[in-house]
Amino acid sequence: MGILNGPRRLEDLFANTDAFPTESLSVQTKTERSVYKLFKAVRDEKSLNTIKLNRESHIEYISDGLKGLSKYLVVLDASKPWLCYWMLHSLDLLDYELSTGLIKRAISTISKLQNPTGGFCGGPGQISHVAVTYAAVNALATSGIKEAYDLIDRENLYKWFLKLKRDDGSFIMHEGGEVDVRGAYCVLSVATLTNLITPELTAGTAEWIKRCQNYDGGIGGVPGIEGHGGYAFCGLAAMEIMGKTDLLDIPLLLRWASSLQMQMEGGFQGRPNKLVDGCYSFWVGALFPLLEAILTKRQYEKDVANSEDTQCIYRPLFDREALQEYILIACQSPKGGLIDKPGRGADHYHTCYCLSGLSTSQHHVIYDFERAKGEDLDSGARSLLWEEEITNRVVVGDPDNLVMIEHFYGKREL
Amino acid sequence: HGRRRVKPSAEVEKLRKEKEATKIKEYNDLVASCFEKRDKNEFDNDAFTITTKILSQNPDFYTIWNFRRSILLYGILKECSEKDKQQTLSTELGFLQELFQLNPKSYWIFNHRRWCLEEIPNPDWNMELKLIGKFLEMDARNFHAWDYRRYVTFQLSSTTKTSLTQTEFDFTTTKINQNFSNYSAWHQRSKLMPRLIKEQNLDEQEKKTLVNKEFELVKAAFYTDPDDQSAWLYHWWLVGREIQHISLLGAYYNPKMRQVVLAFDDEIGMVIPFQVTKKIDDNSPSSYIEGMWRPAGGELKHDQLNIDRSYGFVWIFTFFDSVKDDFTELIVTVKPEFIVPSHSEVKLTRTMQRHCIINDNYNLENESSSSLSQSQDTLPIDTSERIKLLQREISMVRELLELEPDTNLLRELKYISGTNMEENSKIDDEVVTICDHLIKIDKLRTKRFEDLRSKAIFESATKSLVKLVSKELAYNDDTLQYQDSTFSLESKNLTIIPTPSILLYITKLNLSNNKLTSIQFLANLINLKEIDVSNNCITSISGVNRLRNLRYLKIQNNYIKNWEEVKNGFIGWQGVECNIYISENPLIENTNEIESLKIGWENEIKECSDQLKIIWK
Repeated sequence: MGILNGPRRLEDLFANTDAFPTESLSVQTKTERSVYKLFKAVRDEKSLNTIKLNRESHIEYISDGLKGLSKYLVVLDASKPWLCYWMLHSLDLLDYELSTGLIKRAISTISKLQNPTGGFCGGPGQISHVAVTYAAVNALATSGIKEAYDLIDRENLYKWFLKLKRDDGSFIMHEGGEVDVRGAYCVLSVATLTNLITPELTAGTAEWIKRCQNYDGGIGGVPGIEGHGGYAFCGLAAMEIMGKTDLLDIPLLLRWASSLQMQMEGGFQGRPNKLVDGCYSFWVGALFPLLEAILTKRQYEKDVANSEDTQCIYRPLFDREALQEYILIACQSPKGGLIDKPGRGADHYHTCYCLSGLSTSQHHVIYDFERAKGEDLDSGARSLLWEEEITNRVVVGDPDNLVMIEHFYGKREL
Repeated sequence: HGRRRVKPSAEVEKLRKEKEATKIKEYNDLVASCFEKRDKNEFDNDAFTITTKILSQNPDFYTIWNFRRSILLYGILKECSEKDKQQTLSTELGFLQELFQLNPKSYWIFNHRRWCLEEIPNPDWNMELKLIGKFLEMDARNFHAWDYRRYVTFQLSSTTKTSLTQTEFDFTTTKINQNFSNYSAWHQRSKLMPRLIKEQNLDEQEKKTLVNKEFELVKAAFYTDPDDQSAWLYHWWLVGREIQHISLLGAYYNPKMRQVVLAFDDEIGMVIPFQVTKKIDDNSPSSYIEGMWRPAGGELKHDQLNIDRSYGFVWIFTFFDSVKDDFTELIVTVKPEFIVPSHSEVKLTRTMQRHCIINDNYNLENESSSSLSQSQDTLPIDTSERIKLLQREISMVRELLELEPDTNLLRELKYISGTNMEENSKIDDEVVTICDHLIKIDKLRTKRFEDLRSKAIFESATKSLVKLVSKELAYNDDTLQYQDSTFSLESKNLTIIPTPSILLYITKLNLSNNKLTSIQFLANLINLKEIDVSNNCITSISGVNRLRNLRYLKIQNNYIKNWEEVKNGFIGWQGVECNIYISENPLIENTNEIESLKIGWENEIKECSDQLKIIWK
């Protein structure tokens, strides 16, 4: 549907501005106006079809980052693998051919951040951290070469994971660190990529994550806390890895996630009555392929039971065009890189997750149940059964805006 | 943000870069010396000062936080007096407070603060509460702060042995009054409300007052802004949390077919096979019976073992040939972990155990007597109160409808139509009226409102067939078994049949003149002899091929376009002689060669079974 080609006039999409001006409403209105201005310009010039993803300038922005970062990024000193992952993944999505030199440099940087006691750390001399390990292993996976996989000390990685696990099934982020659902997701994602999923590792985790889901369907960081887009992705993805999505209330989660797409902006907010933010294009946007697959699977099982031919594939359950409009029109920094919302500066985090969200909304990925049928597949094997429904691509603006699919299984040759 | 910057000259740029390089070097040197100290286990004041410097620049540096804790534990605080310990850690808390100003959303600062408070001899939880109050003044949606607040109030109330539920509840009120779009506060309220009622041991009247006040508050919010997300979400929690328990409507044994039939009021999925046990006499122990489960409409296939589960309202268990008919009692057990409900508003909360009714031996007692538990996070009010409350909310919805025709009222209606109460017929009528109205004004959601409306009409019409026993539904009259009984619901604009299993013992069913698009639900109704679904919007025949007693299927004037849609519905027919009325469907229109086609089709249907006969008129 989209916003600019949608059934309602742009001017009718503002939040209820004659309502009582709470703080939330006034910042919401301000954001809407800034997005409206950009949308209106495109509409008045009838130039939606020529809206471009500024591929070159984004690549340049990332390449500059690879050379060295400014001092303002000192807080990321404990997150080097994150920078690696965000940059490599962004370049990958932009279909930029990663040079041998770049891949070797990334692998060499990350290899130095592996601790002998298992896991990866944010910078030389630091202790291992689950989120950083997630970024490191995903960056290694992005490189697509065997050498990268071989450098991972799986034995100690596994031992370290077990040290982080608590009796209630949750994981702490690092020794002496905090607990939340990111821990579970990062551990399980890495364990899948390195083939380390065991009953010992996952015992009790699904039950703990279930406790993080609230009455409204959202998933919070820990039990009792309000739902949040980022945690919801971590929670659902972790459940999918464990094959335990049935423990969650899926229709309720779907309803919550759908309500986070903004009517004027087209992008997603992370929580009810919060502002749109480009990074939720992925964290919330990527909930949908998972939810669609879970619902399709349920329908599939019903149809098989009723011995009917199954053709039902859940269609994308969010407005893919609207999300692309937000990313392309409102989230591209003129200086290169992508942003949270108009008026903000670019950073590598938002660049990565805006592009990931763009990919999620352009490609429709589906899970191949026929091939999974009857086999007891582990999470790694199952992750390979996602494929694109090529006939169901949607690209807003210039056809060249198509970025690569989120799941890339190609093998790189060096 | 948003400020325009003049492009700096090359010289200024060079200076800036040099300055930046110095800063980076300074920082790197600090980190290097810090790690050196750590590697040498030097937990001294020097090391402590270095960590302070680093953390002031980069509070996300988790490794340094860990080292700092080691310095405190194994250096500075080691062998020092309680008084000094108190002093040192108080200073540490002050340091953290400064850092908070820079970064109010840092996991690490909160984490370290909790550690300090657990180490400090006399933690001042009241001060913490004040501090976190300030935080929520700066950003009322900071979820780190909300989480920390729960931690602090827990600690404070356990040290002082007094409940803080009321003060915390009042705190959320303040926050909501400042900004009713603060969903964090509403969410917190939903956690506090049930606790408040429980702790203060409120009587019915007091509860009622409290709940009413709550509705006033939330109502005020959406009267000011009917599009506000937060208030509606909370309102939904407030009205809509009665759990619907999945009911086992009945359990029967059919000796002729050697089958057990179970009917649920939800289309459940089977994850683990239900257990069937038999008793030979009163004194013998029960033993498991071997057999195969399938949903009423499903096939018994060998590869079914490979599918995780299947779905249905009505389930049939066929004994293996080896099982002897030597029993006096048959018991079926369904545990919560055996099933997956069809959607989120229903749950199976306890184990259900049923004696199967064998022939004339009626026994519909519930074996398991465990009471139905209410979920902890729901509002503890009783059913009659809830009905009153709903009626009031409906009138509010009506009021709002007049004010704001496109307000999202779905949440309301979904709950209301989802209730299963004896006095619900009035509510059903209201739902139908409101849906009728909404169908007209909210075109984007027409289909959902039509389904809701159908649900209300169906539930109201089938009320006499079921009874409510301690919040669970059961068939009202089991003597319906094997007798001719008729059910008719014509000309109601029904789009779905929400709970077909309620009609399990119906033999003549008339659903003509509705807007049904599918008849797949018929698969559950294994006793049907006559069906009239003429004048609907059905596009294909399905769900009937296993109805062994079906004699008439009237499906005239529907949307069946292709012959395949008729024929495929009868593949594997095992039933009696059956007449199929399919006139006035598009497949017979607009063809000159219709007569010769008809002859071909008649032959084809005979190939399925010579019991089947197409009636063209």
